[in-house]
Amino acid sequence: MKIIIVLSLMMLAMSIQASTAWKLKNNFTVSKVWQHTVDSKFYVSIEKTKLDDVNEYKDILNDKGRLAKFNENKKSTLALIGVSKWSGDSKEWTKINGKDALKIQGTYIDNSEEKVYFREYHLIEDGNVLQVLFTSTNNDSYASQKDIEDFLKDVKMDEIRE
Amino acid sequence: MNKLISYLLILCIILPGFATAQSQGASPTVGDVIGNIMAGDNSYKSYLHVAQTEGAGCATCANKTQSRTQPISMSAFYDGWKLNCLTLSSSQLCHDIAKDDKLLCNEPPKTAWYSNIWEKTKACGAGIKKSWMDFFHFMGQVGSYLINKDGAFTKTNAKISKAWTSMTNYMAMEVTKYQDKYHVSASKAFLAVTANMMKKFTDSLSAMIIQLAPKVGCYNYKAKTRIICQVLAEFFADPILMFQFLKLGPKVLKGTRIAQFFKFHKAKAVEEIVEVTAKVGSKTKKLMAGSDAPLVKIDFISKDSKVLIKLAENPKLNNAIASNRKLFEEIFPDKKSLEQLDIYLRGSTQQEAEDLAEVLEILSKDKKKMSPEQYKDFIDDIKQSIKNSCEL
Repeated sequence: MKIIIVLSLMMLAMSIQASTAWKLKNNFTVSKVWQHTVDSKFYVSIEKTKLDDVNEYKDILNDKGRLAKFNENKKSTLALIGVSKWSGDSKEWTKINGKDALKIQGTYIDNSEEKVYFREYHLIEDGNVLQVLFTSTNNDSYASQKDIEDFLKDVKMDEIRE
Repeated sequence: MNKLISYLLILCIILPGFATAQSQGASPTVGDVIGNIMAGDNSYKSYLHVAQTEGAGCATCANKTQSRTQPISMSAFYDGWKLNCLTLSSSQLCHDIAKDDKLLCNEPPKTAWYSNIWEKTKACGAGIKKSWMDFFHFMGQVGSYLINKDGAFTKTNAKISKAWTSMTNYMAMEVTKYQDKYHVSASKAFLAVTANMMKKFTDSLSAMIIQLAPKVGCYNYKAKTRIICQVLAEFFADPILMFQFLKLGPKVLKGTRIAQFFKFHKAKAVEEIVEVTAKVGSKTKKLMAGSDAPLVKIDFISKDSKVLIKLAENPKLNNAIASNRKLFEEIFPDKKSLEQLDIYLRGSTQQEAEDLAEVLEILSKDKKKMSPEQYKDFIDDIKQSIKNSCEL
């Protein structure tokens, strides 16, 4: 019984730690942005998009021509808001909470001409894709892998509107 | 080497791709005329650039090299500017514009009206922003539109592309970072981050408005900004309407509050401006080729463009007026006498116009030989002669 109580307390402590690792900075209804409570350069934001065909999305990495076109569009669109030299060097499908997720990792130059290290996670669920974007101007921010994983576990599709 | 011509002036102006189109022989549109007028000082800079780098200012000249090395002077260039400005402001198109709102032709504006339109429209503020959600939605739609305006994607691919881009995410992220870095409100950060995008969007939209809403050209700087704000507010409130406008043109605006600025596109008044400007340019071009004489200063003559055409058609009369301006003002001191001259020139032959030129030259030359009474009698005779011709 004592062990169970101790374990429960430990779990509770970890849960609190996870939930307090990120502080909500902005709620734009169609997107929310959090900042890391310790590392002020580390941010995460989310966006949701409904898809007509989830399988087509999952197939994205297999068609290099189409992927190149989508990447080109992405760069042009992001350039409109001052994001330049976006480069997703690494792309792979993985599992998060047992669900399919696409992880893209790379860099871009932001509005202030600073190099930003980013990680995008595209979580697929119920015909929607929930994009989770982590950014930091310091690559070492990603050393706190646990905070990233906890956030991805906690984040819900209904957190924001499309 | 003055090769002043409003036509060339129009040829070289700023609207995207315009110089190329004109050098290929297309006629200027009223949008081109208005674009030119609204460009102000910028139009001369653009002219110089085109003339020096591409020789487009010499599309109709015999010697392109010469034109490239010897562009016309700024003052000569702006004589043409005034000509266009007066043609527009005195046309039917602008006749119902309130005096306080009307275009001024005293001198070209120091900066092009449409330069940095986004900065101007930020001042519109009220009525544009609705809610963060609406604004993000709007910006996302604008981004998608600009990327896919040629309809390159199927519906499915367009959705995938939108999801893949994750623009809302990056926008929210960049806004928040900017806010933290510069300690400003979310609204200010949003405007700063989206400025580049909004600038692109407002630039292309304003170019369309200038081309398609000639009436906008009738307003002065302040009034024009107010009107563009109205147009933008309408589009911000209804992005679908804006996309339809970008795709299908002003016909989709029927029934909206801003339709009034676009409804004159095919009107006679617009055709008149195009016709007059092209004629004046073309005639003046012939007139000035190989001549050092400046185009007659048109600001004191008449705002009736038909007089200007007639003057431009006749180099002798044009030169006579230019070199005897004081005398000309004595003979035609007011609006009524200028109207009589207008009627006279409309009905006169080339020879009669040249006779008038000769009279001006002789009278000016022999003034010292005459007594004041004789001089006055001469002037009265000319006046009477023109008056009689008008009454015939």
